[in-house]
Amino acid sequence: MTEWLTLSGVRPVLLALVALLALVVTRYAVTNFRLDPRRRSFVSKLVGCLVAVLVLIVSNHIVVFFVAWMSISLQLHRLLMFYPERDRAVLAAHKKFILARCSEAFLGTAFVLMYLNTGSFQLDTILKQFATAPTSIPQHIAAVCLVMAALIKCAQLPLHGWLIQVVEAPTPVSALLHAGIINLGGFLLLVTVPLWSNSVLAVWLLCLVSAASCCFAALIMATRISIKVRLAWSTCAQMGLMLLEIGLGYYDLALLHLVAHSVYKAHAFLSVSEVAVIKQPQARSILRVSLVFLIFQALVAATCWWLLGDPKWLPSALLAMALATIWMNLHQWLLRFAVSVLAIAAYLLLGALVQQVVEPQPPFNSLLLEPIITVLFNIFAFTYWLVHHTPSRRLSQRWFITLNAGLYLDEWLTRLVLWLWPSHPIRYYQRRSRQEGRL
Amino acid sequence: MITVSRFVSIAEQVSQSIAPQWPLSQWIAVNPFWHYRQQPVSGVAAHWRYCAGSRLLMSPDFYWQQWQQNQIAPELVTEDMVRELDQRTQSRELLPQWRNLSQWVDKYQQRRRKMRWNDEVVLQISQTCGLFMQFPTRFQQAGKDSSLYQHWLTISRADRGIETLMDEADLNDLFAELPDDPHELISVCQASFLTDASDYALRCYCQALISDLWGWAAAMAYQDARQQSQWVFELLCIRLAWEYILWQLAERTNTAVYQQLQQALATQIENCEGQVSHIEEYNDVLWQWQAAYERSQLKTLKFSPENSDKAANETSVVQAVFCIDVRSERYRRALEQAGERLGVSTQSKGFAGFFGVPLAVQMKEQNVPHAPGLLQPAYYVKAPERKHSVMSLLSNLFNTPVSMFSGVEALGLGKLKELLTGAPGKLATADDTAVSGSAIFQADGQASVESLVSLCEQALAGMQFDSFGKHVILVGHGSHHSNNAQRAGLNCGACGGQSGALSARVLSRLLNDGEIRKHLVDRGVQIPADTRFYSALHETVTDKVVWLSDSVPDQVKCLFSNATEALTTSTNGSAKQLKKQANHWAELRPEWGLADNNVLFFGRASRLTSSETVGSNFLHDYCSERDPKGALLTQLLSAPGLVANWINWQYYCSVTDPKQLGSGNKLLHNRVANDIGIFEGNGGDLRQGLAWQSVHDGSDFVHRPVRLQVIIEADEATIQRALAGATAFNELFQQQWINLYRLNAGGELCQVTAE
Repeated sequence: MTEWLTLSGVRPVLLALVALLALVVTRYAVTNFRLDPRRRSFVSKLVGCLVAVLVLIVSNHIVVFFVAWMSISLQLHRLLMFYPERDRAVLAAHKKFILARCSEAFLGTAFVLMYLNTGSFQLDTILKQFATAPTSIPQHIAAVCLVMAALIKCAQLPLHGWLIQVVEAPTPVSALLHAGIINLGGFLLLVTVPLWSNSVLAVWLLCLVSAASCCFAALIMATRISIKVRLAWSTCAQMGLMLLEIGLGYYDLALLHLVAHSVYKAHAFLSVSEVAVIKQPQARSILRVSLVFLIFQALVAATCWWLLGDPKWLPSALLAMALATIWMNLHQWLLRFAVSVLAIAAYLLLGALVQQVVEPQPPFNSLLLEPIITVLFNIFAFTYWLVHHTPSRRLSQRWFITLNAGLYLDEWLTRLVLWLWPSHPIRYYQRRSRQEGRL
Repeated sequence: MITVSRFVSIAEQVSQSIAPQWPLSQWIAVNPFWHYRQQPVSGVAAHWRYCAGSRLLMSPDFYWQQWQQNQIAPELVTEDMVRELDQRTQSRELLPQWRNLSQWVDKYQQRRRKMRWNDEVVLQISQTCGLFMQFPTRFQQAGKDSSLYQHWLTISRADRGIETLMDEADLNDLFAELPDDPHELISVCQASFLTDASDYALRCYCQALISDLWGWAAAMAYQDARQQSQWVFELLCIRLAWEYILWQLAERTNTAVYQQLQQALATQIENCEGQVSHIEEYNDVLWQWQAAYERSQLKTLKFSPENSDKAANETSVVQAVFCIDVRSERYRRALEQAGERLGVSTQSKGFAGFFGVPLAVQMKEQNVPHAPGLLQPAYYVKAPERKHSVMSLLSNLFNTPVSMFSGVEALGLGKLKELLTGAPGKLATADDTAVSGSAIFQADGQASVESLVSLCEQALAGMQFDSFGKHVILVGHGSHHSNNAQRAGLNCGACGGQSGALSARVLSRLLNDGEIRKHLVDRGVQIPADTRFYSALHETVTDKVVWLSDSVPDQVKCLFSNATEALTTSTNGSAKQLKKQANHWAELRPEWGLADNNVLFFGRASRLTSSETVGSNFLHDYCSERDPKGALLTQLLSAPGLVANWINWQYYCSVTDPKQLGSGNKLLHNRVANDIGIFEGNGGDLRQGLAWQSVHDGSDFVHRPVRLQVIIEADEATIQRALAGATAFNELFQQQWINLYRLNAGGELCQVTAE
């Protein structure tokens, strides 16, 4: 049985998560499609997709793993094409289709190399052998391939466009995609850590791409106008952070992030039609915000270093950003202090707890990587405040428009996809105009 | 050749004729052709069919099917009608339609492997409008003087994406060369490609252009009406600017296409008038069928002959005033039957659901009206000041880019419970005692007792009480469900898309007030000392009644719960199923709302005896004997009459043309700019009208496409007098946007004919 199945590592947690999502989303879809003549077709496609995800999670055999991986994206394609008469839905589905094949090509290459190097089809055997073997050129290639597969799967910049555009699909599909399927890139990396974590090239690639995606996607999110598109950009950013945490070796944090984000995002998508107002940030002096942020960052990192022996640059910076936001939104001093102290204490406690439970990972990456990324996140925070707290400045205006346009990253891909796969063939038009003539 | 100022004035006229669309939180029904009411419906239909492809008639197949199924009375149909209809169902003629330059370019250019212009142009403008509304502090610094056109220019000139996407390198030069002023733009357009256009052609062209962005135009029309801006006109200019750009692009880059464009446009300008009259001719017989279909629907409506009133002499113990909403009819019948069963003499009345109290709730940022859309609330109550709640702080944490990462990690799991249970249904009962118990204000401070007394007097006069029973219950209505962007549409339309709770609470409080009653006596309104007014809320998904007043007598409570019980067992959905519908967050059809509304009856509701039509009639109590001058009827026609027309036309258009005048598939709804409106999916225009799921049950439409049939129980002279006073209603009637009938003493309907 262990040849085929495994429940090691992060799998039990993910299994539970996917089961939960399956339950919620299927129940939601069944009610959503009440009275819809195509209900059966939709729900069966949805369930098919979920079954493939479950198989992927528990499979130990790389061929099964690969087939499940491919089957997920093919089933998802059928869900994304649920309304084939919608031009933009079709275009987005085609874009996703092409990228999914790329991701499979990378994954396939990695698996073939793994098999050739070890002669085994079992994932756990392969990983054991790789963990002890010295790093070789094929191993580097396999590592980079795995990372590429995960980056594409998680819709990282600049190959993110489809994730934003598939909000053309019914709401339950979005919930399933954004809370479940998109996480599989992270899952892939989490279960193959020994394979890629020794390759400096793979780690740098992973960290830099995901950090950039995370920052830019978060900035772009704040400039969009419709709720589903906002949520989609937020997924792109959150996936970036999850991959980044994996790349930097915070596996426990990444797992927590994966689960918490899934729950949050599923809820956000399923309740998307509730009319709620997202408040726009007020004009503020960015000097004050920045000062508060820098003080918090220094404070958190210093206490971390003092108490846990590790500054934990990135988590500290992220906590400081959140605290600065809360600080600016609360108006009583007592409350501000209370919340800050509590949050920092909880954070340290959690950090200490994790250190007790999990053995500290050997530092495999370059010491430079995390500080560089933390600087990037600092720049990200300042940019956000510059753009949103000083709306009348020219620089802010220019940045806002560029961000709103998605940094012009996706246009080329759209053109390429249309060129490869014209989504509105003449025949379709003739059929449609005939239908319209009849109506 | 026409002058530029003529073109400008046509463009302005077209912009001003767009009916507004309210934001989602106050989303009420609107007749999209409200501003065309002075023109005959068939002409408007033909015109919009040509310019925008809008359909105001069902397909010939529909009428044929109805005819085959004996839904249309044979005596209303002539042989010619049948022959011509048959011919139309056979021929499947494609009616001509105006095409904008963007559509011509898509046709003539080889864009099989490229994005097409028309879609992309609409998307670009739509997104720009969204930014304008979503980020007012950034893009509307000048307040109402902010220029939408300028905003669009700024964005388009800075944007480098669209030229990459469309693979047209010249695009940015063209944006840079566009005139900065909309009027100047019109003059350059006119000089370059519209030199020979007639007034008629220009009007068609403007309508065709604005119809590409009808939803946004409607949302902007709402803003324009409130602040004297000209955003719809500017929107039209933006759309025109794109045409100018495409024209120039063709001129610069592709001579063949340019020549084809010139020719197509010239032919079109020359032919448009003939094409419209061709459509009108084609539609003529369909309108006859539509009229026959509508007339046939009345067959099921049965009225009793007038009898010497027995009820007039004795006063009922329980009097309940409901909203005229079609959903109230069901409940009123059940309540009266319950009264008979329990031996409590019960009378129900129909009145506009805001009970004549034009209220607004004053919030920190904006006023929320609880009154019909056409009415400006004269009174307001202050909402209690909410402190920054923990919830808003948390949602802020999730929505701010810099804090969302830690926010999700720390608090994301907190959503687990709600994910499993779903968001529960919501029902606004205005139980904030601070709201309904607090003082009532007017523009110049707290409302005086005199003005409140006049308010009560008017409300009571409108409800036409003969005498007051012991218990008078004001029953507003609201819908109990959640997670629906168009939720306000299922609430009370007469209360501005809110629930009727606040109005019911306020009026019952005022009428129970001793001082006000004393003043009312001075004005000749005698309310007996033992009469008490209570407020309640009819919850329309489960048909339960929520009591808003305290200390409601058990007798009354028992009566209402009896009615509810009878109602839920008689409808096919069990109480449990209904409760589930109300509380499930994935439910797209919690209730059918006002679907299948088609009759507005001003008269004594007891005369309407047919039971199978219950649930499709707006019932407004009216007693013409007590209104000899017809003054009250004039008021009724100009207020509830128009509201009913708006609701009816919203449903009508969402059925005849779900693509353009309906808001598409609810599964794809995507809120835009918080509550400005919705997209279907990722882009395109803002949508207006009702969703497919609101008018269709998966196998057939649940709303019959019938123009509102207004039935008045009064004599001919009173009706004519009232019509003369109610200008807007009369226009609707004269131009056949509604049907008007008179109910005579014998219980027959007589058609009131237009002059």
